[in-house]
Amino acid sequence: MHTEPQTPGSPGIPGDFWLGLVCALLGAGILWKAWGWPYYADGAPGPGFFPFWYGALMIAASVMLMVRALRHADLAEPFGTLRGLWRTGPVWVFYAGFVLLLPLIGFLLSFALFVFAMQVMVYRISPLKAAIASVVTSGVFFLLFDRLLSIQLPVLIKGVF
Amino acid sequence: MNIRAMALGVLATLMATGAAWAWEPSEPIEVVVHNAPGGGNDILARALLSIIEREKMVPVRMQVANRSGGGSTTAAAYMKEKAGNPHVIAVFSNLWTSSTLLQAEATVAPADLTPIATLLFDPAVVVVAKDSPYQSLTELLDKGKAEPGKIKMGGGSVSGREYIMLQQLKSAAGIDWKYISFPSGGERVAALLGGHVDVMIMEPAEAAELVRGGQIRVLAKAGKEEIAEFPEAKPLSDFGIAIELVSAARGVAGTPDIPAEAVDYYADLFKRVLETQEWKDYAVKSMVTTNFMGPADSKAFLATLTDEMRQALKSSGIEVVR
Amino acid sequence: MDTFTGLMHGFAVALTLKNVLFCFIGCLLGTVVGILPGLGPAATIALLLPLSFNLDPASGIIMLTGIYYGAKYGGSTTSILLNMPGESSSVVTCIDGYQMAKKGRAGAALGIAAIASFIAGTVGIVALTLLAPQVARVALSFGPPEYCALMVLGLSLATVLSGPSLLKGALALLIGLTLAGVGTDLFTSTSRFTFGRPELIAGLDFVIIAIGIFALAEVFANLENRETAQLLPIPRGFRNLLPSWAELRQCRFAFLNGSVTGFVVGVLPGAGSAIASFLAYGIEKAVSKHPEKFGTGVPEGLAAPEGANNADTGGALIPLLTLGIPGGGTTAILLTALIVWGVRPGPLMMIESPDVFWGLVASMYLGNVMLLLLNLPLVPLFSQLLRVPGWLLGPIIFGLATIGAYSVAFRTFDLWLLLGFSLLGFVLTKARMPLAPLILGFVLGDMLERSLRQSLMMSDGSLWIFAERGLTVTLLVLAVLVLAGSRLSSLKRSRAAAMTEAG
Repeated sequence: MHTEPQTPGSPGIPGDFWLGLVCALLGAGILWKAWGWPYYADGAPGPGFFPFWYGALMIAASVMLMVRALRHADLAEPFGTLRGLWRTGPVWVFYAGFVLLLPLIGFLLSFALFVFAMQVMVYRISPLKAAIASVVTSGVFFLLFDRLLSIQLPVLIKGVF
Repeated sequence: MNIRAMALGVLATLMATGAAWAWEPSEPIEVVVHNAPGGGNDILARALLSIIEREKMVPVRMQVANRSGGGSTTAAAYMKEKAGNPHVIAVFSNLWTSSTLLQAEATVAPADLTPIATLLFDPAVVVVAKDSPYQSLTELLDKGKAEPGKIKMGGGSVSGREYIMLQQLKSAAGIDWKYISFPSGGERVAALLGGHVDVMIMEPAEAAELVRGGQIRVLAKAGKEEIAEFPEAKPLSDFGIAIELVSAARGVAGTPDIPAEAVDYYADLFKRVLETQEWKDYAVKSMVTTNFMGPADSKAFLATLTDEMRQALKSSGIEVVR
Repeated sequence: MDTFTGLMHGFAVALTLKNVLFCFIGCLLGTVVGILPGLGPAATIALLLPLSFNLDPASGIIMLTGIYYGAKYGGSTTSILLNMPGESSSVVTCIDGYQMAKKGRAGAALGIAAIASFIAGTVGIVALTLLAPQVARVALSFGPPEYCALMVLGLSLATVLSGPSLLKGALALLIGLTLAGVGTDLFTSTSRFTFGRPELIAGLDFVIIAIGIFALAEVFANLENRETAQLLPIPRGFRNLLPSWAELRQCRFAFLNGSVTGFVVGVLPGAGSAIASFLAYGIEKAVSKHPEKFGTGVPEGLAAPEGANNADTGGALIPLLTLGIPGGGTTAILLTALIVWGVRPGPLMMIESPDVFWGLVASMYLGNVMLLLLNLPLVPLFSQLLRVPGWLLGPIIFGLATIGAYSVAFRTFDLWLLLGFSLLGFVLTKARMPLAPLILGFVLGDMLERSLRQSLMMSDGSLWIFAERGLTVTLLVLAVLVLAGSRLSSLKRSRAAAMTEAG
């Protein structure tokens, strides 16, 4: 696990409580879906059986977690900080952009764009260096996987790239 | 040159060009299958293609396109996407039909595409483990009627042929075997050999090796056709089962809305493939029953199949979405 | 012919120049395939099938099987260096392997992985040689109740994997179990948690989840730390390039554990090598004197699962060769290959095709040696991979992850899933949730549910079926012991901690 700076001590509701809440909601959602499927079918558990119990147990464990978080706030492990999000957030967006562009302009171009954006914006590499690196990286990937290994990647121009 | 020869010459030329007017493929043909390489329909497709190539039956390249995912859903959806394109055909099997009955997401059935031909039936045999306490089918059938749920039958998912057959046996003859699904062939066979299930319905190709190794016994065959590998296997009618169980057929279909000439072209092509000696050898080796049906008959067959399957599934309490 | 004669005959076949060459090609290809995400041994073998038909059966199967177990060696490389499982069975290797690499011991980790793979792989083949028919018989006696008990044992090991918070571990496990349920129910064809998307009918693919939660989430986490130019410390000095004798001694039990667990689970049709690796890891942690150190880069935490996924190969070949029953995806394709060659796997194979059978077994001994010799010298080379600066390595990891995910079904939907899971992994790590139980839940979920329902169908709804069968009872008792043992040790630890605090 990372030894990273912790969320600055905030008096109030510890992180585990929120985690428990989210999991409880998730469990409730699962339970609700499971309600729609037969619990028993033909003398044996049906498709609803296991999801029902997963949901129910999830709610139970989440509630216990929330209670424990509130009662023993001092024992809870602090959550990781979100300070670095300004670096990771953009990458997430860039990757989403890459996936959107992929079927439109093909792997070679969209991946190069992704790498370029990532390097310039997040790693703070000079645009020229990033441009070369991104094209080369994308090219190598394309040649290796699409051409050499025949894993057909989306292409802009059929038979070329 | 006399007039007659000239007339004949003109006539011949006209006929030749007339034949050239009928549809012919002009680009490489994709043959879509729903398995990954090595799967059932994939092997069949490759076998067909190798015959076509060797005999030079088409002027263009044909290639297998594996579109696996969600059973047959991905392949079927792909075919729908390519509507109007006569250069994409698919090899379909019963799963394509059963999927549409069972999955809401499976919206494309072979009947929605353009059925071109049905090529073969996969026969089925009823088998038990060699050391099973049940050595005759009569015993199993009687127990199935007298003690519901006592006899356990192993098989694939409920979309599979064996399950439909079992439901038909139940509806028609009151034979109540309990069906236990296993996801893979290996697990099914292991369950049978280990005595965890009592009986299975298998394809002869799967059964042949196990019989040879002395691990299972064939009690009967599900259809009427002769199975070369098991000549002594008796049909179910010998045991008092009068109904015809559903057939597992495999065929070829084109994308929706393709010209009739293209359909005729392919139908004719595959008819000729099935007449080659290489195909006959393949059929013997794979233990399938060749049975060619043209476009119209295939369409009718698919309609009947869909109804039979729907009926069987509904009567067993499985939720049918279409 | 008896075993000894057969094996000698096999070596005569395997040691011909031609077959040695094909064995080498297979192993080399397998290693490459294992390293690169997106190309699994099953797909590679399927691709090579048409080409290999020109070979004679013995050579062909030697090569194809070489790919099969070679891939297990290669799969650990990206797991250790990039936290990216190259293959589904390598995911457990990520847990301690990557942590070792982060401590600067990447070379040692790679070395231990290779050695563990060699030892366990060889044990697996020896067991195959000597015990094949008997083991096959035992494998057949594993029915749904036994599989269920085995899964329960696996689940009990989740408590061992949860780390400090059992509640969080339980939640992670439940999430994993639910994810396993996404798709079509086997017994009723009901679509579960598919939200109307046809792409989800077949369920979620393990590779996508593992890459997203492990590799990509890790990259995101690394991006946060501005200071890290390098993703991982480069092993400095020769000492860090290979495992020390002390570390190897530490792994003594792990080697045994991996071999036995991997082999036993491998024999069971349908139980994949991911299950084998998890069980081996769990067992290792459960019997360890310092279980709390697991997950921080403990050599035995790497050696046990790595060994297991290699021994699993030997096990999986037993039902295939002696009964003609394929245990999983890769063995199914090997079966197809054998059939096309006219070799018929089954009880008669040893008699009818001794060349192929014994040649294959003998070549596996050879192959394992080859792979060890191939992989060990490559360790320093691979470690240098870490020299690649972060601004290049990050995009490369994304690229590998993308290709890996895309090649599962060739659709962009899976890339969205990948992104989604990477976000999940990121959030869960922030929330200090243990990830191992989640993956464990996903790996076990399918078979757990299936085997329980099958068992109850067999027994007409009676739970007594679990008490009536000896093997089942044994496994269930083991599970209870593991649960009790881990509860006791955690109680002891918290009591000790409380006492040190108070005192």
